[in-house]
Amino acid sequence: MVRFRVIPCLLLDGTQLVKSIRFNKHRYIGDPVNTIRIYNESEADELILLDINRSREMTEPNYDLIEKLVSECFMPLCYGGGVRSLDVAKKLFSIGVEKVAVNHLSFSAPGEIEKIVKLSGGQSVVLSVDITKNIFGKYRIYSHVDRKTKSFEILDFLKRYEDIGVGEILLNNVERDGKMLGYDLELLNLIRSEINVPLIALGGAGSVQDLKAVNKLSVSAAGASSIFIYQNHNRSVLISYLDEFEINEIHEDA
Amino acid sequence: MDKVGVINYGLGNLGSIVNMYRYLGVEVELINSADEIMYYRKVILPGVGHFAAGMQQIKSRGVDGVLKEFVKESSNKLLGICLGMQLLFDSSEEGQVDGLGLLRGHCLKFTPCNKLPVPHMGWNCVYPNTSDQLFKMPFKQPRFYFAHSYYVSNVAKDATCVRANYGLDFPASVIRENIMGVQFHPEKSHKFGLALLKNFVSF
Repeated sequence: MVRFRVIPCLLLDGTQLVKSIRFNKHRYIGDPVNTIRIYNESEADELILLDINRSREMTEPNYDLIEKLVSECFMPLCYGGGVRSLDVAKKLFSIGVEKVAVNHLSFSAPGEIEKIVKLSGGQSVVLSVDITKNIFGKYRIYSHVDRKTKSFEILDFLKRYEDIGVGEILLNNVERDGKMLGYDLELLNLIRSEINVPLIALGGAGSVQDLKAVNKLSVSAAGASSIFIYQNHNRSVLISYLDEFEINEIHEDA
Repeated sequence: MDKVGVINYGLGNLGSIVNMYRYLGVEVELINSADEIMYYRKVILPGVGHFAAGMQQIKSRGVDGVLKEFVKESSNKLLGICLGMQLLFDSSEEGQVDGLGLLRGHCLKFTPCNKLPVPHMGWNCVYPNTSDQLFKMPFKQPRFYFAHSYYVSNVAKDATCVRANYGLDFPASVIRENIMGVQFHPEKSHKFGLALLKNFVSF
């Protein structure tokens, strides 16, 4: 049976890696090449690399840097940030990116996402959705480019893209980002029960137990950032992946 | 060790396959036109995307005819990866076109059942026989990265299959003499993929 995946998520700001808290307070972490090398040597399941500026600045992805990073990976790499057209997606695939993540495009030009799915197959396209709570405490989809929430019903929005044929959905919880206080398991359980494509949970991981909890929900994958970047709650930077004991712990009895 | 040719027909993750072979120290080149195929003894057909689009690209470049000639020589070896493996077969539910017909079988779509989402995405175990040279490797339980919604079915008995399971048993790999296919992505499967790709050139 397919194994639950644990996926380090890296944020790219220019040519540097950064880490956020609630999509803010971006802190310099280190050099992306060295970081990816460490994850590759640790045999990480997969990597997600998100460039936080490209969509807002309306610039092309940094193809040279991405190509260099992909060459360090013997596992799949999903790239997001400025994927605004079929041509951009084609270029990314041609340099070795396994999957593209689309976020802003899902608001600005859904038809373009359909074209990418038709060209490369759904398994190469990840719908990246940022979720946050509005002032009434209700979860809403958030646009980091427009810096505001959308009024769509989350499940309707996700099902629409399931019908279009995206291969995976990356659910990024802005509220929980960088807090290391756990995922929102209730939300994940709800979405998992309604959606038939693999789901990647992101936002909140603080411990191996948090990752295990996501596995127990039969969610396909847990993305995490802080726990692989910070050594402890003082947030001293140390890039690492899971060790053998932690991997066994996450996968047993699930 | 032979050098490897990777067919460039507009679809597929060529960069990653080339990367792995370079890391292994194996000479690897892209094959950009069909008439170059016969210069190699080891050829890889990669592929990602739609069955019909893949066949259309292959036919428009004349790759189909040359591949059929290529496999007639038993010392030549062909390895199809992911969509590349599916294209080796007769047909697929995906698209109303014929495949290369080098292996007998038909591709079907996974249906989400027992709460298993589709596509089949992630690391999964395969169960090779000890005789499967392609899978000879010093690891207790080989596993590879899968990313697909269609799987091969009704494989003719003259081929051997290496099993994987995703709700149902399906072929992770099919081998008939010098024609081989793997449904997963060895180029994205760490040490397991490195070992398999190395085995392919070592035959």
